[in-house]
Amino acid sequence: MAQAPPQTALADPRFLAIRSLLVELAASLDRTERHAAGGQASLASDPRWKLLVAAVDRLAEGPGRAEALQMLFSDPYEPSWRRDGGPELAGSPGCCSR
Amino acid sequence: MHYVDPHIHMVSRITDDYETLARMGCVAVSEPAFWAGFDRRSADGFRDYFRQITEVEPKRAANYGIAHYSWLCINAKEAEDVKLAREVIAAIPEFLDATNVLGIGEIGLNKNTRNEATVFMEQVELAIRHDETILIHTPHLADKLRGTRMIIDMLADFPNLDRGRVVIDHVEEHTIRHALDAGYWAGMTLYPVTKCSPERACDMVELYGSERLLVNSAGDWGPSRPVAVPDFIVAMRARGHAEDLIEKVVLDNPLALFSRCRRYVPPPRVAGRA
Repeated sequence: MAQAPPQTALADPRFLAIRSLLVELAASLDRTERHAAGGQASLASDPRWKLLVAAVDRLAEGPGRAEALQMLFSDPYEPSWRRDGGPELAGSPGCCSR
Repeated sequence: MHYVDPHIHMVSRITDDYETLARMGCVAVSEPAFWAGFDRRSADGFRDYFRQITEVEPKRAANYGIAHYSWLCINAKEAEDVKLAREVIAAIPEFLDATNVLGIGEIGLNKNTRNEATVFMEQVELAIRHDETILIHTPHLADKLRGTRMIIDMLADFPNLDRGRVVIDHVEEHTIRHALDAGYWAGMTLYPVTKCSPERACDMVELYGSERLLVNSAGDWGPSRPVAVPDFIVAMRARGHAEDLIEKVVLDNPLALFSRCRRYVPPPRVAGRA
């Protein structure tokens, strides 16, 4: 793999960049709660808010955060999608050796 | 550093953007056929568009020393109208001999519907019949994982398809592995808000290596940065990555993919490389 040259575990520029992102995230969540029409109670029942809360919780769990959050925000994939009413394909049977 | 933007919609950009790209070191762009922001009403509307990306854009690009390549298809968003899609698919061979055409794209899925899947399969068949390379769009946001995996499922129906001539584009952390493990090229699109950032693209190079990996801007008529690839170059340098690694991702890789097209002529400014 292409590893970046090692550096101080948490150099100042990286610390400040992450700190900035976290403060921005915190302010965004505070702002959303403050602006919620029905107050916090209405937010608590919003599935998108629940997703955001679950994503924030995941941040503390350790490596693989980015992929885990992407999965959290994804619709599930069903391997049986073709059998279970998914798209029936209308291409030419036998074409191109398939 | 010389670089290629392998996915950018220059019909939607102003001429000043070509000048900016040239100043940044861009030697070539490739332009997949896509949604114009409105649904076209006839196959002739697509014919006019195909003329634009095979005749007009190469001339605009050449004025700035940039080689312009294109890909032809009906995009997933307009594929819901299967009757129109089939008329467009029938028209595509009229343009396949244009010297700048790299293949069929960006085909794919948008909302993962039955009609999109039907038109996707028929365009893969078109590509195979005409021995063309393929560029594939994957859906946005919550639809991306499911759509990417559906696309890979459908491609598995073509055992003779050369995976090394197919790009699965707009990959992110949760889809990149699926594309690479199946033997396809993977494109990372640097785009505001949705898709990927330069820093996350650097992360994926570190995690998955540089083989069969591309970086593009997908610059278009919406919020997007036509200089996103140079942003990636700067981010990689800031981490201390070697110049040859960066150059492999932004220049050698896209040229290696393009060279799999039977009509490919290298960009004049780097003709000795590929």
